[in-house]
Amino acid sequence: MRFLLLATVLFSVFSLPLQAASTEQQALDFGTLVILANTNTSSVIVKDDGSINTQGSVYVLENGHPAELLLTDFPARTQLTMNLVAPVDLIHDVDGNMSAEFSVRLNGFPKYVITNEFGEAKVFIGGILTTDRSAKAYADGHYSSSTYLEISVDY
Amino acid sequence: MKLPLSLLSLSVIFASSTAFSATETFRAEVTVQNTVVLTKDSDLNFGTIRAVADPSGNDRARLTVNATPNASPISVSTNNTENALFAVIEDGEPAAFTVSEAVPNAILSITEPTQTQLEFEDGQDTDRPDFEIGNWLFVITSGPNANANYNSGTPNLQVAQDGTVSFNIGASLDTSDRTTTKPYADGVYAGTFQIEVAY
Repeated sequence: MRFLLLATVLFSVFSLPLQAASTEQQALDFGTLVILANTNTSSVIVKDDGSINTQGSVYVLENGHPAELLLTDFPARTQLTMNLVAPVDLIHDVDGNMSAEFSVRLNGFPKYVITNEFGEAKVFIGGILTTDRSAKAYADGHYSSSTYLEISVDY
Repeated sequence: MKLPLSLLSLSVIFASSTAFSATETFRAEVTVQNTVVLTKDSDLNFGTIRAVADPSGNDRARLTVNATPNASPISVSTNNTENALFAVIEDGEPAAFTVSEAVPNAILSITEPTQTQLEFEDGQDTDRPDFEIGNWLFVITSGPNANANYNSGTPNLQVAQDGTVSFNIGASLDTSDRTTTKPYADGVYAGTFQIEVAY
């Protein structure tokens, strides 16, 4: 009977969902861009190491940077696996759909990280920003959106 | 005794194969700045002049402000006749503009003003002549093409590595072609003109 009780307790403990959290130290920022023509697709690549590349008719006036996330409340010394999520659209903060949009695909991040003894890990996340070849022009201003990273832990 | 041990093993195996997944949210952002910053360093000034307009509007004198830096003289009058003339009392100066926050090495184009009239500031009298401005000339004063005339057919206003480029604006001022009964009044004749600089 004691063993049955212990087994039940163990099962309950391991079945509890983790209350993992993250703090955004800085957003994934593609910088300040000049987009001269919207007839061809252009892209800006920000890697997790901070390096920046461009393709097409886009110029970087001010460099951006990868996102920096502090993952907390995970099990200590545990491998966290990062999974790709679907692309997100960046929309003009004021003009909305009146302006052309960007598509962002996360691709510059490690496949996994190991948490420290406090169950924390710092992750840098880069991505590819792609212009939308449309009849709309890119209005000056700030474009943003929320995206997310899927993190899984095997234990 | 056997049954509890089995349950214990089962629960441990179950626990060790459990996967936990979470989604962590963060922002992605970008700023677009397709416009350049254009700063006026000085206005176009035709100086202080004596001006006579042909009452019939047939003869027209012309005063040109040179856009080339350090030109001497800056203001030159031509086509002077007895009926229409300019005489320079005090030299003018070209307008000066600076473009900043532009893409290094980019080529910019200038759209010249469409407004053509200079009006008497204290109120235009319809019987008095006005001035007509035109023949806009842009001289690049900094950047890779410094000292070159701006070519609107093949734009050559090229931005320097620091994202800036400057240029002067000169123009010509013609006496009126209207039929008038009064001479030019003493005072300031002025107009507001817009230029556009873009990629």
